[in-house]
Amino acid sequence: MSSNLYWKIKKPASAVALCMIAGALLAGCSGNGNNGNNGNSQASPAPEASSSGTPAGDPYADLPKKVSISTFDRGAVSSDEGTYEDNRWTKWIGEQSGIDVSIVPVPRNQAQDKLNVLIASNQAPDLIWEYDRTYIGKLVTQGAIQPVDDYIEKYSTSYKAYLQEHPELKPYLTFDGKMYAVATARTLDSIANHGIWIRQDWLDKLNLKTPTTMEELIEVAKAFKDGDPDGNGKADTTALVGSTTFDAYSAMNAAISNQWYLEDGQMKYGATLDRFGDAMAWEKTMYEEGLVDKEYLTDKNFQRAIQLWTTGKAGIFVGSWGGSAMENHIRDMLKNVPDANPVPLEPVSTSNGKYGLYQETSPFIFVAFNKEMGNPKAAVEYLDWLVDSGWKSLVYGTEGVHYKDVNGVAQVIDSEKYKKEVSYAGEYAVLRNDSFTPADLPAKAASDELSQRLAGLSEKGLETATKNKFRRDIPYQPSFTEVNEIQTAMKPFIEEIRARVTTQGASYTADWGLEEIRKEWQRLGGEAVEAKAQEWYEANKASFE
Amino acid sequence: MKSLARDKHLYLMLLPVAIYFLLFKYAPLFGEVIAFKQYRLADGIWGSQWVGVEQFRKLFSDREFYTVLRNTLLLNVYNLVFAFPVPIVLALLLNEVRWSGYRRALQNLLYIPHFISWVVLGSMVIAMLSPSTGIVNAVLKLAGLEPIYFMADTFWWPVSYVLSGIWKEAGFGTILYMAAMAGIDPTLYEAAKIDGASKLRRIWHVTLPGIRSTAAILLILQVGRMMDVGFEQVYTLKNPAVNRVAEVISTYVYNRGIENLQYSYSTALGLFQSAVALVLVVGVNRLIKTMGERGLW
Repeated sequence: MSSNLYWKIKKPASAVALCMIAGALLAGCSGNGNNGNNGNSQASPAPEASSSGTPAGDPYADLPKKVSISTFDRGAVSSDEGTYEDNRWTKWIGEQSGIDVSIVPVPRNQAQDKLNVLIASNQAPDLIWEYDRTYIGKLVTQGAIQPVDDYIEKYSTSYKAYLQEHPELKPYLTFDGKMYAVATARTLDSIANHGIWIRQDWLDKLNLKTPTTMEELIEVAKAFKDGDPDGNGKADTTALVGSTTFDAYSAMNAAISNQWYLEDGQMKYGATLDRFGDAMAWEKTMYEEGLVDKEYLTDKNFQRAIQLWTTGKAGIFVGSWGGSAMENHIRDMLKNVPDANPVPLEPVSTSNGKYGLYQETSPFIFVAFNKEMGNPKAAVEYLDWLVDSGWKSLVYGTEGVHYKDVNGVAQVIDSEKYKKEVSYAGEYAVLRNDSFTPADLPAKAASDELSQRLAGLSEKGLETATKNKFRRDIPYQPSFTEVNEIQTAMKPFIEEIRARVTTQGASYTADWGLEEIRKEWQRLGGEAVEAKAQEWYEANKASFE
Repeated sequence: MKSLARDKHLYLMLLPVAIYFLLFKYAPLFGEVIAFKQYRLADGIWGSQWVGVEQFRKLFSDREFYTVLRNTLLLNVYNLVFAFPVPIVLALLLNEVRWSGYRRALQNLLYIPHFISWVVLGSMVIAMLSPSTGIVNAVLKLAGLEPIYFMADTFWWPVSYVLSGIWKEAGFGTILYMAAMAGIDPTLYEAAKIDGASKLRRIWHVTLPGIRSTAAILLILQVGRMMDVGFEQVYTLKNPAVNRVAEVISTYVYNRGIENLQYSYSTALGLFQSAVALVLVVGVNRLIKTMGERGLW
């Protein structure tokens, strides 16, 4: 059911209480939470302060090689495999890397909340990771993590070499002039983040062309709703469903609400742009015309959307491209409706131009070093081992058991076995030295017919998803206290305005909504924040090239 | 002093509890100082910079704070008016059921929702109130009415909130009243019966006065929670369309403190909340006492 509520705070009336507990722990047992052997003064000296780099003077040389690392708990480990903390792969990691690695799972949907609590109570793991650069920025501001330049310089070989080959990563990893995280580059399949799928068989049945503009898309949607495309004589079809519908409207209008844009060289906040008003207007139209599931506001985990799509009751699906979710949905759909023919749909053009859906920037997972970490040397060695060789088995499994090597591409032998025994282990491969082209997909997939068909679809989907550029004016977002605070305050406000514009009829137009958002932005000191963001942009733009 | 020596074993037994309270209830109170600081994780509670009442200034100039405060108070007032009397009525009804087997079965059925977490109940509420597939709207449609999107409507959301709260807690709330009713001297009923009092009269003149003090205590406790709306119920039921009426202090603190690391700000809010709650409890306690009932102290 509501898996995103899986983790919650018992007496949440107070972050207060948490902070207080944190305080008690700080006083009581500082540093012991993560690595029991190390409550003494060696907790966090900067390496350059302690020695000149000779092994003899290295404070970490004689420490036990122990590292703890956070992991996203996606509930993907089946009970006979064990748990995220203890399973065949955690044992394998220990044996192969020679480092005593302990896993600290945090629920995927509340990862940051949980990490925040762990950090505040001094129980956070040595290595903390997130996909979200802004979050790492917050931890830097909070002083919860430490610079890694010296550790990499001193202890790393493999990752140091990797970073030299990928200098484009460096600016993303740098905060206030120091490197605060390590990351490897994303492959194309994880750069493409969102995608749209449409039922080609429905288009054919109703004699419609593939839509290329917003207007055409709306017309197609109307036909999907009223034209009985599934041919059961009942008006029971929904035109468009999905988990990232509004992100898609925003991206196609080039106005993601919490992203900064350069308008004539000026830094502007996405939600305050005219283009964002267009995205809201689009959402309103879709809702009022009954082209979307009217209950998507309360469909918190998108169960309804997924159900409509997989049972063949929806014509267009907008969702995350990545991972196996999209393939799994289509696999389910083909089981329910064998004649269905879902194909990727290219983002349509709007009055604001033609832009791609959301795409990621180059760095994959940002791995940061906890300030209280016990043995940074072991941590660096572990990361080196991962990027060197460890990642491959964690992603593909054991050669001969889970995959076979076909011309340098790892082909899955049995997709069910792989799904159960290996797919969760990718969570541990936070650094990867992988390469990928869409053409690899059919080669990688299991050889049964359905898997091959899905791989073909994925390949096409990936090409479609990356065909148009997602508009991103600056490579990464500014991160300082004022920006974070105003974004925090604006987020629920924008969501609410959006919901009102969408659901509350003719008097609440998108123009009205945009006006409200701009007023609130002004009231919260948006102008001053824009000025600071501009300053930040001027100071950093040289590195954006 | 003499009594101390005499009862030393009793005091010794009290010791663990006293230590528990000191350690887990009083010592953490020092953490409240971060309401007057700009708390950073790295600096810790003592190391963080003092900022005086800056956090409170920010709080009171934040428009959202007033919305959140209003919602918290309103939802509690609704609860007080509509939900508070329900267990009393329910207990009275149960008390009149003569066949004890039936009564017990009924009681147990009423308790069940209390033991189900809000995460589950919340999903059930959303499913039942769904305009397309929910049972409530199915009935409305049969009656020829337009379906209502209860969870996204700023009028119906608080109604759903209060009713779902009653669903979960009213049955369990009868326990104390039932206990109080069991403690009423049966000769009072007999005397009333001999005097010719009808069943309603007996309830009015014997049962209700018998549970008055229990109701008073529960009322004080309820008012003490006036500033505090349970997190889980709101968090599972709310959605962006009703933020305006659904965001309460606890969800707001969660959002600001845990999700966005504004620890000092949310502590200031928590401190404000506790201060007001204290005033309310003292006030109601005094009021109850002037009405001739025993207060909490």
